[in-house]
Amino acid sequence: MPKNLTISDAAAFLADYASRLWGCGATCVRIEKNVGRIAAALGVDCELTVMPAQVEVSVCEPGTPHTVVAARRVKGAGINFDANARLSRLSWAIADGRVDYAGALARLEEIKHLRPTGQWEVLALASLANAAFCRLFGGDAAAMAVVFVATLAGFRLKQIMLADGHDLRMAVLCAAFFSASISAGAALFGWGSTPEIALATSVLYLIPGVPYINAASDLIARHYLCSFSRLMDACVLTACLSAGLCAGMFILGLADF
Amino acid sequence: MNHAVIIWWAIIGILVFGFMLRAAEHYYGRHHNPTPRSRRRHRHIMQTGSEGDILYVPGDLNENDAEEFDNL
Repeated sequence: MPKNLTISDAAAFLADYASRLWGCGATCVRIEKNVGRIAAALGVDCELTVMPAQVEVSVCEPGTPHTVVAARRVKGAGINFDANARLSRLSWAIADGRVDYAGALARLEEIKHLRPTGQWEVLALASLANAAFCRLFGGDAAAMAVVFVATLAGFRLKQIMLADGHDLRMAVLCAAFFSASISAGAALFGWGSTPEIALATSVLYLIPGVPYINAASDLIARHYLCSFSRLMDACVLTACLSAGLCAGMFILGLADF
Repeated sequence: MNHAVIIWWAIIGILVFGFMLRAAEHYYGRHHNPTPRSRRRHRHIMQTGSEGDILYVPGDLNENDAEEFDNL
């Protein structure tokens, strides 16, 4: 263990690191491997407990009975692959000896204050991606245009509601309702020859894909608690999305579409 | 114009109105509030809240105070 590092410091660092990694959407396996790698590099024994809302790290100096336990609540910062990759790279940098403890602390602080991707870029790219999905499912140009506009409006509404502090489930429900309603215009006004594909693909951008994938990964790794927690979150969001879509279809008389 | 088309235009109108309201709030906040962007408080033209926040009178019982009376 480095001379300027105490067991408490190591426990605090590992707990902060683990909670940040959980918060940005990493799987339990990745958290375990990264934390284990850092602990080995710091010369401490570490037992990690990953729970749906918090992480707990128990750190012990080899050959001594002195153990420190540090727990941190997981702050959901939204899925962020950039932060995820940077945190993984940090663990390798520590393991390879390219960064010392002070440097690791500084880099972790830097990662905590990473600027998120601009909301307008995300809005434009998500709308284009959803229009591309529509094409993949056999939609024509008119359907793609409708889906682009529906996604633009729905995604912007979701951004505004989340920025105002509304619950994510309500934001997803409202976004799905308005996106479905806008894309229902293709059926009502006869735009294009594939209005049903426009309607079905207009809400795809709201599907919580990463939580589902992470839930499956945690299930395979036998982290059943975290897997079930992520799966339930994803299912609830999917239910809200479906409710919004069905509400839009029902109100506009497309229930038999 | 059939029923569904009227409802469709109404839904679009509500959404456009909401976005315009948001843009107006943002414009009003930027041009009438000289504080830096990071410390600017976002003012809403319409907000939801409890009536207790508006009509509070000292001595009113609220959820947080209820525990004090449990042992009476």
